[in-house]
Order: sequence, then structure tokens, then C-alpha cells
Amino acid sequence: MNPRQISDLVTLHQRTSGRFDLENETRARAVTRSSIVWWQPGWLVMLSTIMLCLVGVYCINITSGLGTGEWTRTALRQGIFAVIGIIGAALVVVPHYRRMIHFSWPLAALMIALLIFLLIPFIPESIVRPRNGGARRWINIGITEFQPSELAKIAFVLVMASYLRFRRNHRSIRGLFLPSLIAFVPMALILVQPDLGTAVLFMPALVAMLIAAGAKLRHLFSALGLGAVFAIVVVVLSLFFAQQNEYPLLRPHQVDRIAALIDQFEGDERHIQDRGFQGKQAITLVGAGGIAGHPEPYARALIVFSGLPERHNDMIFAVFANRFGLIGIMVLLVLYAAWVGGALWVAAMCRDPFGRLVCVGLAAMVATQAGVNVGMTIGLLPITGMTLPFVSYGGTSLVAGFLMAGLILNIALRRPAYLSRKSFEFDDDAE
Amino acid sequence: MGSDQSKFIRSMFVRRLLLIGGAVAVGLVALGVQAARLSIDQHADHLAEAERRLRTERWTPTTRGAILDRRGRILAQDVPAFDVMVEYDAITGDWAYTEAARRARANHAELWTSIEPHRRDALIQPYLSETERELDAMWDSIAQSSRVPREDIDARRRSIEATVERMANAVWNHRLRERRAALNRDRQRAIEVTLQDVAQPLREQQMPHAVVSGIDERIAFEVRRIADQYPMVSLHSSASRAYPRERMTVVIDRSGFPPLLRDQLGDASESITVDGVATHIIGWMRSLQREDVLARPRINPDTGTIDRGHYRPGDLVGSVGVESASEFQLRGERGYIITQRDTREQQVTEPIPGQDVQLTIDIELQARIQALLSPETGLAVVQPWHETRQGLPAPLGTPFNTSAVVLDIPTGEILSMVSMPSFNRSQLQDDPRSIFEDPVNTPWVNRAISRPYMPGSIVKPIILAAAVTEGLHRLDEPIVSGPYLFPDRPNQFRSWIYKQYGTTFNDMFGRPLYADDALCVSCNIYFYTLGMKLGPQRISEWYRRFGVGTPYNLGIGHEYPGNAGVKHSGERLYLGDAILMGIGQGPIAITPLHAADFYATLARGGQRIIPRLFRHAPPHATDLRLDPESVDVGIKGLERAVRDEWGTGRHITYPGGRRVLIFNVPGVDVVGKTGTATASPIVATETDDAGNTTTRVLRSGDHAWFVLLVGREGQAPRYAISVVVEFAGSGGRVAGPIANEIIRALVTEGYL
Repeated sequence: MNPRQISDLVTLHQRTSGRFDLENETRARAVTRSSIVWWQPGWLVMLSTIMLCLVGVYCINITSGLGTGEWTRTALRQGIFAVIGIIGAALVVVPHYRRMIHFSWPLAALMIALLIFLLIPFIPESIVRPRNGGARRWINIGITEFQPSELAKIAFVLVMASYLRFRRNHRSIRGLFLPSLIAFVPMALILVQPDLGTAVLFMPALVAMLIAAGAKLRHLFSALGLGAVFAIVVVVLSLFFAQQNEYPLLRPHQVDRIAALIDQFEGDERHIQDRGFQGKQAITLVGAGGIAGHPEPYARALIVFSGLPERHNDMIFAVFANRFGLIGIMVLLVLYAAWVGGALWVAAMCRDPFGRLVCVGLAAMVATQAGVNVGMTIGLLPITGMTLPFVSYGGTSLVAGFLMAGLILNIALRRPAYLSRKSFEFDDDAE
Repeated sequence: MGSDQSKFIRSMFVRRLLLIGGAVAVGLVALGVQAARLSIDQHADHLAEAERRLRTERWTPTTRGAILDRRGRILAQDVPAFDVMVEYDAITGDWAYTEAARRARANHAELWTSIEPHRRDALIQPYLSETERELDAMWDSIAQSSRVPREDIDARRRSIEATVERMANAVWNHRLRERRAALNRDRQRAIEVTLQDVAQPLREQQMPHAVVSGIDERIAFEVRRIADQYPMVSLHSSASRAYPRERMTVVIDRSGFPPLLRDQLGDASESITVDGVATHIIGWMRSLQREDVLARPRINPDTGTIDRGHYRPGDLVGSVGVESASEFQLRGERGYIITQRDTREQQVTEPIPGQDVQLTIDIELQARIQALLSPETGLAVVQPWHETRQGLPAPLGTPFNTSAVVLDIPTGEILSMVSMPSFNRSQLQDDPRSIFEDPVNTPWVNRAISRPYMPGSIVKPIILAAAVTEGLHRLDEPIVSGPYLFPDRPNQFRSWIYKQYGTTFNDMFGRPLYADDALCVSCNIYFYTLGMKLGPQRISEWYRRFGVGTPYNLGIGHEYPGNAGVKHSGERLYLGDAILMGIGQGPIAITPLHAADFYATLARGGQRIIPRLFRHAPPHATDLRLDPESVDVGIKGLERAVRDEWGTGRHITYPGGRRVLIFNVPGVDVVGKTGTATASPIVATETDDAGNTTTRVLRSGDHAWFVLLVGREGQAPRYAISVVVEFAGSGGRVAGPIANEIIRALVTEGYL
């Protein structure tokens, strides 16, 4: 071996023992900074993000009504946030991603503080304005409002990746406890806002990251199984109590949405005008799109007169499907598949444990969010408050999405250190 | 280290990634399949549903056909009318607050969503006085345009509000009780349910109500401008059904009245206002019931297309009479406007107005006859000269219930069909019990076709024709008319003159009677004999041939078809029944229409044309093949009944012996027959608390008939008239003068 290789080995050994050594760190940086991989699947992720964002702007525009020929304020705002997002992504791409390891815990602490801040009752309403009947999710920073929970998602993935990267103890049941706690804290804070949709996304990210990090599958599946049984019991009991007008577990509108989905499956149209309305109109618009969709003026008319609520955010997929039809749906699903697949591909190519887990966590979040949103729009799942990532209207979530894409691109751009060991290979233990 | 050579994918991490990726792929496939299902499989349905929301569909009203009399006079028609509808919250005044809130919100949008609901009131207050003033101005405009005083409108508002609140409280309290009962049924600890929990707004609290009803087109035009200005005001078309000739005034000339009546009431002409002209025939409208909607559903089950005449909430349906029988013809079809909400195009289908229906009735004649039968005229109330051996039929001045039918002989058309008492349609709303719960007078029954009467002697001409046509009797064979039919049964089948005066017709005539003699004096023995000869089967059969037992199916509702030979007890007929049926007693019951029909058939020489009420109905004729001579002799007998000194239909003998001719109308020839028919009394059975039953006789006596044929002097009879007066006793005394005045009415109306 030549001196350089030796020093690499030494560096790596020191690095895997987890101690911070400035000199070696500098040398490691010297090793790693010089190589950028230009031809890699990270571009797939960024490109998908941009294309989905453009689709979103267009769809937001056609929800405005029969059309005056001008772009609506909402669509323009979304465009501006897209530009901000791209700038943010560019900023995130520049530093090596390993730097973020050091920032992940402070960032997470800041996010927790902001989440707690949101919940403090005597905050004046000029700063935290409750909307939609008391939901406290946004902080007013003058020119706009931003939603801390979106950034908290990213912070969580970073923290979790940072925690798991050199450990093995998550391969035992006891070792799963602390990761769950790390997930639980922000989840609980977001749940109380209330924002069930965003809170729920932490679970798939946690599970996916644990799977990728090598936790034993039987542990995870039994935990998930228990969770599923618990959820089913909660749902069934809630439906039962709802018939007598009591809501001890889930809240009334949540039980309503589950009941509406059951109505849909059974073809029961009695509540089609209240709780079943949103679901029915969404399905109708999607189905009406047909194979190729409709030309813009007609699609606008169908959408406007359908009376579909939340057209520009939760239900944007129905708008899209009506305009572009099944072909458009397939293209959209392919774009998301490209995003998720690209992120997983980057994870495979990357050797570094932090990078791998970040990609997996972000991919899991995006996949779940997109899947649940499309699923609820086409009638497979009950209506939830989840938006369609990159497409739905929402400044903070769009910027956060670009930041995610930027992170993945960042990870993809870095050539792995020579002779670096691939991480999370635990084949010496029994599966 | 780090990877296992023996596995296919050497890296565990990659395997795990593939696991995650596989899960994502499964989700994608599921989404794709469902999306394909919606977009391909169910595409047509969803597209239709989405397109349906692009259209608004509105039904436009149509007009119901008119009912006309034989001379085209309007008896029933739709009158376009409008109601001014105002939203409930404007009626209560709550609109002012909600509108003020709306304006406050629009002007202070950001502030609005940030403050709590209960603190928004301060924002709303400044706008409140403005909206209240606007609301007040609106009410003033409505009052002014619809020409109704503002106080009346406010009173109507209060009344609507009170009704709706009452309804709401009743409904909510009911719900509250039910909810409490349901929740606390099996509990130890009661769950408290308050009125708040069940007080969801009623439909009536969220819809417009009519503040002013029945305004005409001209005023509606002005109100429409208000409706354009204020969104909570709208105009609702509410065509109402008008019966312009429901109440008519007739001038009765009393110069031909019985002299004692003229003494009582004076000689001058009198103006009589008649209520409820032809109400039984024309019928009326009622509100929709479920059966009507089911009978004519929105989608025609045969063609599968929308039936534009289907019933919508608020529609009226014909009830009783021509309105009901000709409902489909009169109804018409609504029009339809489909508006495309995106392009604002309209597709208009014009409404089809209902068809008019023309009756054979002459409404002026009908009104005149109803006037004659009204109590004020005096002909149809108990008068002193109505007294017979049995005394007065009822206390003096009691009105009689009567019926009269006028048939046109050549065509079989019914010129007039009167049943008294009649009533105005307003009484149906105001006092229905007086119509439907009066067991003696039964105003709602159309006596001309729905009430059974024992005919009595008026059937004698047709019994004659029957017996002779059957070959069972010869006109040249006279019959000995003694005191009773069977020598060995002096108390059965007696001659009426023997019962009353102790003499016999044989004695009076000095010889046995021929047919025309028997008809002239209405000899019972003669016709008992004919009945005996015919026997129960044949006599029943002949009655049936003349129309007894088959409904006329005039198409205006329930008819009594007549009874020939069916006994209450269900027993078979005996000879004694046939004998009685020979004089129109026993198991025989007819309506006044049957009576007129019998005589019209005779006048036509045996051609029976089924009487008709609608001009468009084709005539239906049968030839009864009567022996022509029997018909001639029958009519001769009728002539003698009216002309001969002993004729029962010639004169009335007043107390003191004065005789006055019944028929005194110049220029006409009258032949006819009286009838005094024994009738079953109307009784009321009451059971008191102790279980004792008492039976009270409400009405009893004989029905008084007069049936006649009348034509211009020297010409064949043109009209058949039948009159029956219930429980009035003598046909000649009571029904005769009425029949005379009906002839005069025909002259006045130009028929004779």
C-alpha cells in the first residue's frame, strides 16, 4: 500500500470509532472533497421535483374557475416559493452532507422549540394565527407564514440518520426503544396542533430507516402488526360509538371520514351530501378524466362546478387527473417512482451510513405522503389532511421538498471515500 | 465481511432497499389499478355525473286544461297567479345580522379569521343598522308593489314565524325525547341530552315562504323588479284553479208557481244566488298524495323516458268529478330548461298545456234548476199543501233533499244533473264536517247518480212494454182492477185507491182497465198482474235491459249502478218479489238518471242510448226491440196521466178543494208519470254509556217522483226530465211543480 492508502485506512479506523479528530477530519475532507460524481441518479430526483412542481403550479392555476387568461395569485405564489425552494436546494447542495451531521441535533432542538412555541397558548395571534377552527400550525414571519412541522420532518430524518449511523443496538428489541422515542417527541407535538396527517408521516420514515439500518425484520413486523391491530380496534370501536353519537377515541370528523370510505365501498349514498361529498366528487372528477383527460376550458368547468373542496391543496390530484386523464396519472406516478427510486438508488450507491439513511428516510416520507394522498383521492383510503408533495399548494412544504431533493442530490454528488466500507451490512448476524 | 457471497444479492443493505422499494412498487400498482378502474371501467358513469353538475335543470309550469259546458262557457280554468316568496331568515329579521356579518368579514378578512367567533360581534355592529334599514326598505317595497298594507305583511310574517317555530319546537322536543330514550335505555347513569343537541334547523327554517299569495301578472311584473334587487325575494308561479261559475245568480219568475206559494212569497221575480253550481259534476282539486305520485312516476315505466306530466311537490290533483276523471287529459306537461353553467347556453323545451274538456251540461240551465231546488225558492221545502193522509212529511219549512236530471232524447246527452244540497268549494276548507259528516243531507253525494231510490210507479210504462214485448200480455186484454190482487189474500198487493179511499178503479171506470187507463191513474193491480206474468227472472232481466245494474261510467266518480232483483238477505227471488217489482217496489233500486234514461228509451221507441256527460264521447246505442204498440200505448198513458181528470199528474188539490193544474208552461207538450215510492227511513242508532241503544228516525216517508217527456207543442218529445224529492210523500204534489218549473227553465234557456 502507498502512504495515501495507509493514511486512508487510519482515517477510516478513527472515523468508525466515532471520535472527532480535527487532523484526521481535515485529511478526510481532503480525500473526499476533490471528487464530484456528475452522472448519478440524484439528478433524477431533482428533475422529478422540478417537473412535479411545474405540474403543481399549472394545476393550481386551473382550479381558479372558468379562467380569465391570467395566472392566479395562488399559482404565482407557488411559483415564487418554487424559486425560493430551488435557491434553498442550491444552498443545501454546496456543503458536504457530512457537515450536517453536526448540525442535525441543534437543528432538531430548534424545531422542537418552534413546535413547542406554536402550542403556547398566550402567544399573540399576530404571530401564531389559528386557522380552520383553531389549528395552530403556522408562524407568521411578516411577509408570509411558515410551517415548522415541514422542516421538523427533515430535521427528524437527519437526527435519526445521525443516531443510527454507527450503531448496532437497533438490531435488538430494546434498541428500538430510543429511536421510537426520538420519533415520538416531534410526532406528539405535531399531533397536538392538531395535524394528524403530518404527524403520521414520521412512522414510515422511522420504520424504513430502521429496516435499512438493519433492524431485525421480525421485530419490526411484530411491532407493526401490534400497531395495526391496535389501529383496527380503535377504528372499529370509534365507528361503534359514533352510532350513539359518542366520540371517546377518534374525533368526530375523523370517524366521519372513515365511515364515508365504508359508505363508498358499500355503495351507500345516504350521506353523499355531507360526509361523503368530498370523496365522491374526487372520484367523480378522476373517473371523468378518462384516458386522456379533457382540454383545459372543459376541465376547468368540470372542476369548478363539481364543488370539490380543497381543490388546490389536498385534492389537487383530482384536478390533475381530470385534466390529463389516466395517461397523466401514469406519468405522475412514474415521476414519483423516479423520485423514490432515485433516492433509493442513491442510497445504494452511497457508502456512508448517514447519507444512506437520509435518502431512505426522505424517500419513505415522500412515498408515503404521495401514496396516501393519491389513495384517498381515488377512494382507497379515508380522506386525510395529507397534501400531494411538490404539487399541492403550500409554501413551506414546497421549499422543504426542494430542500429534500437538494439533500439527496448533495449525497449523490459525492464520490464515496476510497476503500470506504459499505455500511449496514450485518450478515455475520443471523437475520 | 459485510456481504454474504451465498445470497443472490450480496449486500444486505441493498436487499433491504429492495424490500422497501418492493413495498412502494406494490402501492404504486394498487394505485394504478384503482386509477385505471376509475378512468376506464367507470369512466362513462363518472363523466356523466361530472357533466350533470354542469347543468342546471328547471321545470317550467304549464296550464291545466279548462272544463267547458256545452256552449263553451268556462266552468273551471287555471288562473295564472304568483306568490311572493321570501327566505325565512329575512322573514324573521335574522338576515340583517348574518348579512352584516358577511359584510364585516368581507371588509376585514385577515382580522376576521384570527379572532374567535364570540368576539366578532364588535366588528359586525357597525354594519347592522345598515342591513336592518335595507331589510325594512325591502318589506316596504314588497308591500307597495303588491298593493298590500305593510301591517298585513308584518302580520303574515309573524304568523309564518309562529307556525314554523311551533313546528320546530314540536319536532325538536320529539327528537329530544326519542334521543333521551334511546341513549338512556340500558344505562344506570343517564346521559344528558339538551335541546341544543337535537336542534338542527328544520327545512322550513331554511326555505322561502309565501308572504303574499295569488297576485296577478301585472303586479308580478313589478314585484319581479324587487326580486332582482334583493336575492332573498323570489316569485313563485302558483296557478290557481278558478271556478268562475261556481256561484251564479238566477232570476226566477214566480208567475207559474203554485198559487199558495205565490201568496206566500209574492209574485215578483226573485234573484236567487246559487252556491256550488255543478260542484258534484266538476269536482275540485286537492293536494298531492303518495298514490298520485306513484301512479304517474317521473320516469315512465313503459317508455323509460321522463314523463313531463309527472307530479312534483306542491302540485294539485283533481279530486272527484270531471277534475279527477279527466286528470290526465287536463293536466298538460311541464316544460324544461337546461342551462349549461359554463357556457350559459339554454336548451328550452316548451310546456304543453292541458287539453280542455267539454261537457254536455248547460251551466245556466243547471244553475237555474239548482235555484229552483234551493230552499229560498220555496218549491223544495215542506209546505202546508204537502200534507197527505200520513200527515206532513217533515216540519213545515224543512228543506227537501232533491235531485233532477235532464236528458236530451235524440243524443242521450245530459243537459243538467242536479243534486241538492250542493256546496261551495270554500266550504271544503272552512267547514268540511258540515259536508262529510251530515248523515241525513249528505251534501257530498251526487244524488243523481250515486244514491239508490225505490222507483215506485214511474216504472210502469216500461213494465208494460216489457210484458207486451215478451208476448205475455196483450194490449187488448183489460185487467180487472179490484181492491187486491189475490182474492184469497185481502191484505197483500192492494190497490192504493182502495187503501186510501175504499173504492176500486174498476168501480171508477165501470170496467176493467186497459193499459193507458192503468197508467193514467197509476193502477197497482194492473201492474201487479204484469209483474206476476213476467215472473222474477224476466222482470229482472228487463230492468237490466233498460240499464239497471250496469254503471253508466260517466267518468265523474262513484255511481250507484242500480239493483234489479238482488235481495239484501241473499235469498232467491219469489213470485211476490216480481209482483212488487211490477210497481217499482221490492228488490229494485235506481237513480234519477236511470229514470230519465227509461223514459228517453221509450221516447225513442226502444232505442237505448247510454247517457253521456262528455261531448267527445261517441254515442252507444242498443235496440231493445220493444213492441212498438206497447210504446205508443205507454206514451198515451203518460199523456192521459197529465191531461185526464183522473190523471195523477194533472192537478194538485189544495185544502179547500181548489184544483190547480201542475203544468202551465205554454207552447210545450208534456207527458209524464208520478211516483210515490215507499222508502226505507233514515235512522240513527245511539248507544249510551249504560249500553242502552235508542233508535231515532231522522227521515221517513215516501220518495216523491215525477218523470216526464217534453217537447215543443206539436212535436215529438225532445227532453226527458226526472225529479225525485226525498221523503216528500206525494209525487204529484211535491215533485210535480218542480218538474213544471224545470220545463219553464228549458224554455227560458232556449231549449224549448
